[in-house]
Amino acid sequence: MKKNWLLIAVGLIVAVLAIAAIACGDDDDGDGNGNGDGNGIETPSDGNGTGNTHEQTLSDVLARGRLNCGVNDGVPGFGFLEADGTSSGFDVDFCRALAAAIFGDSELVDYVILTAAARFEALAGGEIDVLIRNTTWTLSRDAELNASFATTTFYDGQGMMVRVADGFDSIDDMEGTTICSLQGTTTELNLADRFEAGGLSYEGLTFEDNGPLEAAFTAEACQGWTSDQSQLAARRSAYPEADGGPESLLIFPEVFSKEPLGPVTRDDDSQWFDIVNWVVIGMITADEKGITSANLADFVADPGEVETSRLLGLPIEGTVFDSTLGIDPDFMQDVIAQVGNYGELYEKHIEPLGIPREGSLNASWLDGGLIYAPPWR
Amino acid sequence: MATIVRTSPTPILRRARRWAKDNLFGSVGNTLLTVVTSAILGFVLYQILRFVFITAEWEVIETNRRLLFIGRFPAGEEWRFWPTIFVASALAGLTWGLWSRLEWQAAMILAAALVPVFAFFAHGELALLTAAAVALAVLGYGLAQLWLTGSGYSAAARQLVMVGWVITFPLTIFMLLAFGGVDPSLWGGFYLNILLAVVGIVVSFPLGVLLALGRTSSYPVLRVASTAYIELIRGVPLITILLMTWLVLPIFLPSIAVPVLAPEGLDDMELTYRVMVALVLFSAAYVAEAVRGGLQAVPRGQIEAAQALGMGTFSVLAFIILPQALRAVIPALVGQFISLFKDTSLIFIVGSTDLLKAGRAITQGQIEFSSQEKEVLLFVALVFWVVAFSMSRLSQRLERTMGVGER
Repeated sequence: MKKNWLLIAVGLIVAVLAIAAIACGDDDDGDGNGNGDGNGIETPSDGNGTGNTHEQTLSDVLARGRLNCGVNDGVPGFGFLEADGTSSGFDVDFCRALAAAIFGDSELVDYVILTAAARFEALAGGEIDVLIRNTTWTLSRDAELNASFATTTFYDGQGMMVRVADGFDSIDDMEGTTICSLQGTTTELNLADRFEAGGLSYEGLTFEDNGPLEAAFTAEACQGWTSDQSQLAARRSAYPEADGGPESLLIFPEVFSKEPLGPVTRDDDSQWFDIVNWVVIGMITADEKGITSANLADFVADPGEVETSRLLGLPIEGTVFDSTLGIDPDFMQDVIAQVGNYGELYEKHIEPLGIPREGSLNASWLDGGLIYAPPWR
Repeated sequence: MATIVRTSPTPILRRARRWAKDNLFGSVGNTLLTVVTSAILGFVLYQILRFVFITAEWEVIETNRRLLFIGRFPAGEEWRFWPTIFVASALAGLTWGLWSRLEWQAAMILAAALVPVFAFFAHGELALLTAAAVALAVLGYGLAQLWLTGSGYSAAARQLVMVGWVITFPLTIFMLLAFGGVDPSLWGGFYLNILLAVVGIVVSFPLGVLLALGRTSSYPVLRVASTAYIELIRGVPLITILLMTWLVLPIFLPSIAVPVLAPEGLDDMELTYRVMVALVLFSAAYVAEAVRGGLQAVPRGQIEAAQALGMGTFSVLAFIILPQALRAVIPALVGQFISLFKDTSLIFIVGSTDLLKAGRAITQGQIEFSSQEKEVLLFVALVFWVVAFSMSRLSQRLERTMGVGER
């Protein structure tokens, strides 16, 4: 009798260990970017995902009648929740643009809120159709995680913010200082690399969340605050007047990491990838040509250039340019009318954070930036 | 007259002075302790009051009240909440009136609490609806106090109210899902916390009782299975169970369609429902252990006496053992339910925007409120505390009514 109980006990322990192993195995994903999301682990809500995805995302999306878009809920300007519970931001508007291109209605989107830890699993598992959530394009993600990165929508990079009163002019002045950052392997690694390159010593202070980090920074527990420049600018623009206001802070122009952010799809569906990619490119093209939601009607009435006709799906000598993407040829008209071009989105979401487009990497190539669209033909 | 007042203070003042002398300034040590403690208390209180009334900027709560209470629930669907709220308000009033009396102090506190509620959260149409809910509660209480209590209908009214509470739950779910329905992944805010807690409590209670009976059963199969289940669940953290409902459960479950809960098959169940199932299964194990304690507290003699009277196994269980066992474990059960209620905030792990997650999303994402983290967390804590404290008071009331500790 005693032996039986021993057997049962051992069996139970083995079962528990097995379950634990399964649960842990899934936690381990290649997260780790410095995109300023201070969320803990979190997983997506079930977005009626279908699982099987090979070359059929578009037909799944069309059959469902809605787009499942993986977004953030805690990054100002890019993806956040409005007071009325709706998602909003630069990234979120690219979801809306996709829905406008596919259905002709930018409202047909179900937003699935994801954290850094869960985003690639949600994409691979078919819970979302596209991931637009401050995700940095890297080799290992592209190659290992079965993810395909579409045209970069925002060139970010890790920077350093200091108090004006401390008198630092560049990172090279910051020998022996304490630097605050969010927990996240890349942010900390980039920081270590930068200080090592300058032959400087520093002490790192990491936080789970931006709130306590700001409190520590305000209390002068650290001299520098490092994060993606877009996030630093956002925090700076909202720095309380009681603590000195935005003018009391300085963000060095130096960027010590490359963070190209853009939409991500599964890499087994080139048709779907092309749609996502060319909707973004179309918005950049419209920006280059000055076609906005306000003046779209003028361009439709008189396109002028042939490429504009192709972009807007207007007939050229009787025939309409067929993109062969599998969606309406005039999809860009819906996108521009309902969401806007690239520049409009930037102006609406990013400039209020205190990040001007002019002179930045995200200016059009015509103005010396990196935002460049391949030809639409 | 005047001389009397001057020479001898009113009795209450005299008593207060006596009490202070006995309790606070009895000796030099006591006096010192009193002075130091009240200095510290005063300082802390000053800091808290200063923060709440002067430093804090409460605009963040007012602006985001919708997000905090119903999360990402789609605009234009709010009407789904009000039938439930109205019914629950009326029932709450009736319940209070039928089973208890509202002391005037408690009434004052409640009325005072309503002032900030209206000032902060109720504007325009919302004010009317909230006022209607409050009016229904008052009406229910008045009806119960003035006509029902003491009248011949009192017992019948109590039964009706209990039936009403039982119906409220399906009504809530019906209102969320009927007439087009709202995708459960969009349920959120404090409403979701409450919903999950109610589902967890209502369903896990009978399940837990069955498990406890199974564990104390004399049939080895039942006993081993129940024990194994309870020990397995109690040995795994809730976070792990929640993560497993997202990652592992769909792999194990068959694609058998279950109406309402999983029309697409069990392996493709809505995550919100999966979380409900997880909370129920988790809570049931703890309820079972609490109930088992009660079962063991019932003296053997009670059962033997009942059997001697010729009562069957079921009758002994239903009329002798369970009533005594459950009454004895009310504090433990309520403790478990309060903890389950607080645990519902862990569902941020599976991406739901509950009260706590909504609060965090606000300060992280809305740049204009990025410095109001303290205000938001304090508010979230207050809301949780109010509900948990109410549950605790309710349990004390229940204990007194059932005479725990007196028999």
